[in-house]
Amino acid sequence: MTKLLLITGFLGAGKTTLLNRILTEYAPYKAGVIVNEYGSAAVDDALLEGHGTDMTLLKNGSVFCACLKDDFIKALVDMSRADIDYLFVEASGLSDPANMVTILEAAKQAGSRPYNYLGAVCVADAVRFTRHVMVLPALSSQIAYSGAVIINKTDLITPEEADDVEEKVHAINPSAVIYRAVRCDVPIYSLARCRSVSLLPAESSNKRTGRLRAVTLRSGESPDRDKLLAFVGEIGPLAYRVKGFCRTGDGGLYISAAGDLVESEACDLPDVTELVIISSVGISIISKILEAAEKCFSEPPELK
Amino acid sequence: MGRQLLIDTMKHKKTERAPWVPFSGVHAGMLLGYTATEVLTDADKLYDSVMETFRLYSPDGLPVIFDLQVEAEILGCKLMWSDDCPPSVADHPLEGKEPEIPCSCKLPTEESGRIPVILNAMRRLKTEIGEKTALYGLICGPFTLASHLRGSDIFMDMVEEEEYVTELLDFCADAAIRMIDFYIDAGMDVIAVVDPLVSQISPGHFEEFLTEPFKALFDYIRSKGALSSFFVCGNATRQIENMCKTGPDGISVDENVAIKPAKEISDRYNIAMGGNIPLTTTMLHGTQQDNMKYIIDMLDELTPGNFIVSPGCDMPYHTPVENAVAAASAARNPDEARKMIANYTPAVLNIPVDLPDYTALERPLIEVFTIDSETCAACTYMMEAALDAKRHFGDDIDVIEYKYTIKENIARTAKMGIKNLPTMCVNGEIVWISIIPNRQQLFDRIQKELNKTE
Repeated sequence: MTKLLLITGFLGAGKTTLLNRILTEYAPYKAGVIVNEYGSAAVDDALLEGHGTDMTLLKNGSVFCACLKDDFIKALVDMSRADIDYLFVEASGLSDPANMVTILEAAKQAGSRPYNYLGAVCVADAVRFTRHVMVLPALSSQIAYSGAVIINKTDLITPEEADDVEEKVHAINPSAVIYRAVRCDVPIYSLARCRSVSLLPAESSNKRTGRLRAVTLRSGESPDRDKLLAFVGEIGPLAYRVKGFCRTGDGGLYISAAGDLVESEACDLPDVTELVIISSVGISIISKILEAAEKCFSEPPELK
Repeated sequence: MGRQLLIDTMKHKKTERAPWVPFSGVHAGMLLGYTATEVLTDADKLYDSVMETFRLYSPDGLPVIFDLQVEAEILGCKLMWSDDCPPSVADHPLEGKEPEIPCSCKLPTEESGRIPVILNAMRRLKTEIGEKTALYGLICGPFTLASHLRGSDIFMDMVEEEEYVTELLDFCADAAIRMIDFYIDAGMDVIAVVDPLVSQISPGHFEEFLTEPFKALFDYIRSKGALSSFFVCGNATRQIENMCKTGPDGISVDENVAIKPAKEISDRYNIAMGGNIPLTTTMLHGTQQDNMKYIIDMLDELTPGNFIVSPGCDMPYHTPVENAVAAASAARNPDEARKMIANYTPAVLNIPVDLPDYTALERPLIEVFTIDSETCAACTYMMEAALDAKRHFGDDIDVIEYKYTIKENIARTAKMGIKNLPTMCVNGEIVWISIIPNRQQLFDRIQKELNKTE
């Protein structure tokens, strides 16, 4: 029976980093992956290349929302028939997995072979968790329905602050195994043993996740690297997440920003810059992007 | 070329004359004997009708379709269709419920509702006349769309559920972005964001809820290389400055707005003003000379440049062709027209009307003076507010609508001293001018009158 592990966590918390670690550790096994992205560009897809796994990408929403649920069920049915030992599902940042068990049941009705559901692992961004959990109900649900919670990026906060985050996580889910980590460096095999508590499945709050605005910026220009980073630095605080592969005068650059924290590393030069920006300021992000872009690009970038 | 003249004007360049843009929506269908429903649902009839408008009225710019219900229909509003005006929204899927935002999967696609019909006509028109005349794609503005979805509850929400209103407007702006993409891809030169209900809220509410979404839409349109216009109807005088701050290339107003002071404001922001031939008194019921005189007087009153001659809003279906032809000729050749109307004195409308004896009413009387609640969204929602009160108070009150499209009502409106539409009167007193009362305000006012009679 294929074993299924769900990975949840807010935008930029480190889900893809964790998934990469998992796929490396589980290399001796045959693994399949379903990646769910909020935006329209396939950034995580590209980051996960090279593991030789079966991969299905579900874009533009949450797999727990009515709009993508059917696609998710179909992907689960297909994967159940593939020759794999493990299926890892990376949910999008605002996914509320409360109805995961119901979805597995629906997949069974639709012809899926049964899965051995190992439960969910949630990656919490140590820096931003306290702030976001107050306003985003899906985050509480991600914690509540997890067997293990990784408080990631603890190198960026004090031990006391980490205690505070841990306390909050514990208050939401007293039975979860909690790890503190930097770059999701945790004992990977132990994650699959932390089965989620058997909370009753509930309706996902993802009926309204559509309101989180994902804007994909595209441009064929190759701006100066510093100008591009300044642009991301300007937009970062207005976004939950900025990530993607960019063209610069110095070659390709992978950008990953969460709030004020901007990370970048060299990558292959993409044909076009594709940056996914998840707004935390609603629609005004469009005006802000275009205004900031004037200092970086010579023509307005395409926004989708 | 007319198209270039229009583009130059919207880019605030010096031009030899003001461009002429007849907003012939359903009226275009009338030219070929099609009903409003036919022209708004059939790509061939729409295409033929717009071509006929182009032939008859020599426009510098032209809307392909004028129907603010396209998006609402896709998002689940039922429409009430008519032979001689655009459809109106007959129900509001989010009304009377807990605040709810539709799922993003409901947003328009190129296959949704009547969009394939519209895009088909747009593409063919672009090929046929797109070099000669600027084509306008009209989309429903986010506030009017939110009202279509939420009904008159939205006015109460703005007081009690502010966060919800922001979220709903964000969703409606998303719908607008989809439409902008479709219409620009189909070759539209100008995207007009048409939001009649903007005139019915306070400037404070505009700043709180509308500045950001509208600015985002106009910035977005500009980033895609198209021009933008902000259409409003009703008495938007108090909103002109706020509208300018959202940064469109143009603004278009109807006869409820005094064009000279409005243009003085838009000139300060270097935004092209458009307007505002009166739809009913001049275009529908007036003479050819009336139409020419209005345009000439308007042009003579305004500082030159940054101006587009157009009707105040969608032309009435039954507008006599000769009136629109006269308007076209005055707009295109103002010097000739000026000579032709040199000694013309407009006829005075002289229809006797009796006003009720407001001191001897048996029960409170709510009178709603509208352009037409079936065609003007602001009027629709003011009338809905009154009908909501009627449902609540039943036989304890009377409610009546006076549509300006009927000549007798023009005289009645004048006799009441009403200058702007829609306006709501309670027992003969003008209470709400171009502002839609929320449920509480209206009910309190009626209760006050009822208390007096008890």
